[in-house]
Amino acid sequence: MKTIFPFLTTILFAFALLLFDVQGISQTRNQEVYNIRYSAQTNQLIINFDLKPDKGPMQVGLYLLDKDLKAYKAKNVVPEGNKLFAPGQNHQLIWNIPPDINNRLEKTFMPLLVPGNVSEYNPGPGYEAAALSILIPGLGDYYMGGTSDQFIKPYMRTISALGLLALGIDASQQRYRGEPEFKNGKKWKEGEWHYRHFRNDAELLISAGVAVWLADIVWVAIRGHKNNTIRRNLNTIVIDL
Amino acid sequence: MPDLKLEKKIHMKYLYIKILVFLVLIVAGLAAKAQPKFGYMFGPKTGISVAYFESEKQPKDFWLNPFLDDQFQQGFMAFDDTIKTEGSFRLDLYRKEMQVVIEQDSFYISEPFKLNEIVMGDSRFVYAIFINQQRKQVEIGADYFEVLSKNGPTQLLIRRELRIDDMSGAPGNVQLGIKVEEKKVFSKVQTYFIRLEPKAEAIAIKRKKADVLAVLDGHASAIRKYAKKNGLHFREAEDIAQMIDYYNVLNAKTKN
Repeated sequence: MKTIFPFLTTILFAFALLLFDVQGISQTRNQEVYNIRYSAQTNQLIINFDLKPDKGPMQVGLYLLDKDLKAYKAKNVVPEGNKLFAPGQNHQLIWNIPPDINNRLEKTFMPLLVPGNVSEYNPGPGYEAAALSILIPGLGDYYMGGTSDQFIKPYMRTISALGLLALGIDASQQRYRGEPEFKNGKKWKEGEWHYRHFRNDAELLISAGVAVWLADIVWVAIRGHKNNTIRRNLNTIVIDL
Repeated sequence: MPDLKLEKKIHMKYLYIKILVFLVLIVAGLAAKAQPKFGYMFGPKTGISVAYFESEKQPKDFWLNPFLDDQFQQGFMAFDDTIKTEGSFRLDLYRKEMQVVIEQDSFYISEPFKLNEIVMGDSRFVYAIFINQQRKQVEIGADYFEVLSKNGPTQLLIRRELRIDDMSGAPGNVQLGIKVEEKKVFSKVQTYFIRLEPKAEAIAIKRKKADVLAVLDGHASAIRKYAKKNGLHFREAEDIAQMIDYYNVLNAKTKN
């Protein structure tokens, strides 16, 4: 334990430095547009949304992301892009689809409402946020946001990863070998292993805990990478439909 | 006297190796999305069972066929502003396009948004905008759907899609140390939708009670009772189609 402690302290210190240094983590996502509802009527996509009251009037543009997260700008939108929306509820954008896509919608798109200047749009933290999940499982997810919609909440990941690891470490500590059996003064049989919970309990519990932790890091990194790609594509290349 | 320190050290070494093996198995299993297979390895004294993973494959002739049906089928199409036109039809799932043969001429429908319906063989098709909303993730698109319910404003629709995942990015076409023969992964995917009105969006549903009743919100309790009385299951598409037909009857009664 004495040898591990300085090692852990060094790692924690390095991460603390990393967190202060990483610009991606300190960025906050644009959340001015919320409560977005989608419907369609006679070849038109109707988008209803609300705007945060604490911001001033702003433009809201409709962008579309394809499977590879390439960004497209919808043109036939009413009201037009330069209209300023006042803060408040029940705003509406209507996208007339057929003229924009030459009458055939071949791709599947993810719609994105971008408030203000598209080159400054930030969809959320980048993959750097995975560093938080390396420190504590689930922490990166909290930072990513959108946890209310997640089926498996970040605190569940924290509890399950740390809980399984704690149980596994406890099981490895509690494991012991019984006395060997002797016959005629010679060792006849090695002592049997006594496990805390079940056979190979420590291995299984620690593996499961580490797997949950790793999965959480990968999950945050994937979400962060997606955010980075969206940010890069929106800030650099937007294709007109 | 046994050396307890040495014994503990050896034991811990085996503990770490086992943890590593379990982790590799977990990661390989998740990443490969594969079926576990079991085999046996025999050494000079002992035999152990081994679980390994093998990628799922489909025969080429199955996945290379992009059509819903190989053969053109007799039927008719009706646009919003015209009368019926008879011909032979075939749906290309990959290009999401309806191919038509009328007399000797063949073409595809270039403006499907103006289409009212296509009947080919025993099946009826519509072209609709769909919205697939799973939590905050929203997907929109448009495609041909087969109508599973009978006539009525609200329809149960099925979308068939030929999904192609390109694996060519994998270096040397090797994943997790296993050589992958095909560079593309093909799958035919079926998803179910409900469209409440003829020109409205198709809403993606999972075949489960909560999803179906959430869309048919206006008569949810009546539908639930109807399903229970007639032994209909929310997992079966045919049963959901019957519920939609009943929903149309209820709606018509309410309007009258």
